[in-house]
Amino acid sequence: MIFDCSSPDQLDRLMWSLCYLSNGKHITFYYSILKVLVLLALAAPISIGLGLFLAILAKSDISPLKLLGKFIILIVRGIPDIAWFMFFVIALDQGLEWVRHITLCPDWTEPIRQGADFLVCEKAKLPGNSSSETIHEIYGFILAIVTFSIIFGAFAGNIFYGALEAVPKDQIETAEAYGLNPRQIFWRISFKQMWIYALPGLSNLWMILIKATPLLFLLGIEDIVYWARELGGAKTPRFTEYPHGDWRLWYFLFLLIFYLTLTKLSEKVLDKLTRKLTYGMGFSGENFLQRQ
Amino acid sequence: MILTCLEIIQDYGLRSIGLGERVLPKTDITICHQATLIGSGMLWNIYFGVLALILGFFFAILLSLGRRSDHQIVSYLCDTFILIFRGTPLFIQFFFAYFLFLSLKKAFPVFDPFTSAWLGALIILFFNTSAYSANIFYGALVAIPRGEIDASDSFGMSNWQKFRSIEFRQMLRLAWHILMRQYLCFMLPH
Amino acid sequence: MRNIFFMIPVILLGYSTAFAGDTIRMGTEGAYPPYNYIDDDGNLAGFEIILGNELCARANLTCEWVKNDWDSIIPNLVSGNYDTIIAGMSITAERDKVIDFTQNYMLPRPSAYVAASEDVDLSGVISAQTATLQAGYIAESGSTLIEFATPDETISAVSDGEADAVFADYDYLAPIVEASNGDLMFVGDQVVLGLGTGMGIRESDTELKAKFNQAITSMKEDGSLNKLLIEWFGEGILTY
Repeated sequence: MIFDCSSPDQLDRLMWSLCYLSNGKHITFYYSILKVLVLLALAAPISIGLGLFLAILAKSDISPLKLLGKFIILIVRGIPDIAWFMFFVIALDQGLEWVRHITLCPDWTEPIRQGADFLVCEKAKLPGNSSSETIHEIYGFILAIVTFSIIFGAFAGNIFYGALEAVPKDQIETAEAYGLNPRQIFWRISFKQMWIYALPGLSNLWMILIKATPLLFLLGIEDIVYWARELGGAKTPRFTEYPHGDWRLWYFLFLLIFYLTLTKLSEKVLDKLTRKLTYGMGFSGENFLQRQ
Repeated sequence: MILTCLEIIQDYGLRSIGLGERVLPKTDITICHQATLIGSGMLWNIYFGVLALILGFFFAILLSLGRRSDHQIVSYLCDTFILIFRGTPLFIQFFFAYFLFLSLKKAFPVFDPFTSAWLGALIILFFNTSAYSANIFYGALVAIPRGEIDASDSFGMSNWQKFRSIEFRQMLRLAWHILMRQYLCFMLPH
Repeated sequence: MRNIFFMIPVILLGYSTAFAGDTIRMGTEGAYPPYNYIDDDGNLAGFEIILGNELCARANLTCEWVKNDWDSIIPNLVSGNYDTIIAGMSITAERDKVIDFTQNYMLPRPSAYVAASEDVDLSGVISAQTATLQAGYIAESGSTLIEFATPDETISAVSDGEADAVFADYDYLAPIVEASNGDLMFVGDQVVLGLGTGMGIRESDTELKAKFNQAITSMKEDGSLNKLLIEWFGEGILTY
């Protein structure tokens, strides 16, 4: 550490604050802020990819694929996201372990469920029992990203589907008149044009995604909510060098400001992007949203 | 079977609001127990959902009008209110509000009931849904065709008449679908 | 998109480090001083961390600590996220139905009420941590129970006037009362609940249970457990 923090009770106010705010526990807190940003940075592109895939499925000419795409979008959107979070992470984790169990330990004879216990063989455990706690945390984090991506992917799928429908029919007809085949029309006209129609919806979804990030806390990940509660709680001098009263109000005020800044920044960037992309289109993104 | 289930409902049906049996069953937990207890918890969902939505509906109209207002301070305040409640996660709002009410309570005893869930959480849900609905109303207000307003002006309508018979109706008509979709999202707990 | 598809087989069948089967994952709460808490550096500390490490050394196991919220600490043991619970958990008949316990490493300890004034009505609103012995006791005693997810919040509830008193483990309360400069005080009678504190282990894990039982016995016999107890809980603690 840059400052001498060996005996905090002797320090003046400013140094005390600096030492307090830079102790190991706070570093973990800052690190958890990074976790939120990483989650956003990874979940957003994956969701968009999944959403495109689902929308293409739902627009497919092959009816089983079409039904499958529509069904996935409908089912994920119809269930409250908290329920998904609670259910999906456990199901995904146990599902993966179960698949590994039957492939890696075919000789295992005991049942997987014994009473309340969920037992797979040592080799099937994910991550392995002897991997370090960091690996376990990364694994948990990946599960969370997958969960977020699936939920938001379905929402994005719905937006892309709507956007593909919104591409003006005259453009498609013109393409037909030029002799383009359906596949060419889809990839060269509809797919390219739909982005502009999808943008307002995607902007909205991004805002919702930002605001869904504290749900990490519900997945048992030590995120900003966990650390804000832990750091803010009153501390007695026996167990810390920095005893203080109940400071949770201030930690949560900080979180509030953090999210507000993130939202406000995103709003600015997305506004600019929308204006740029819809330039000359005869409508602005907002107008389009109203028309929907 | 049905009889015992009725008894269970009698014992636990209102448990979530503090009536009936306090101690949870320990042995022989049946589907009926689970359904009753979950149902009992849902009483709160209905209480929060219905009250917050109804109150929020009216407050949202005020907020949206305030945001459109020519009075700069009013418009700024409404805008900030909407920004704060739409721009931050509900989860964090709950936490923050709880701690804020706790601090207020220490200074002013009036705030005593605010830290109880029935009031504190209701206020946050109310503010939250108000902010979201106000944004929808505002969007509808500015989307009312200019001609309709001009026409009402040339009929010599007062501001209140204009609001009541033109703007309010048109605003509701334009906002209705989005508002209903928003309410549906709200009732499915986010 | 391609990335996840690429990842799935890697996760499913990829490299697994599972043959060194001796790593035991130890689940704890990290919010319950002096039993277990997070120190200023962000690491786990407390009586149970020292004890757990010593037990692992004696049983020849490599141990890794895992933090988990209290209210899901039993479900996550049962579903295999970690192998033991060592989190100030009292042995009770009710918990024993779901998981197994080692022998106790602390004798039954009193639970006590702490309030902000002497003349508080103990049949009023009492705060306790969710899914604890104390919460169960209050629910049956006829007082109004309000539950909180962390022990820390149960104390705040009393300081903030949310609850008339908190009912919790005496050893958890003592340092807090001491640090409050007279704002908080013990009231009413102490009650001894439970069968002592032990390590929770999955019912199917009989081998692990035997290993830890043996290690606890050895610490009881050579007096090191008593020394540790006195070091963390003071001279007044019941020793073996």
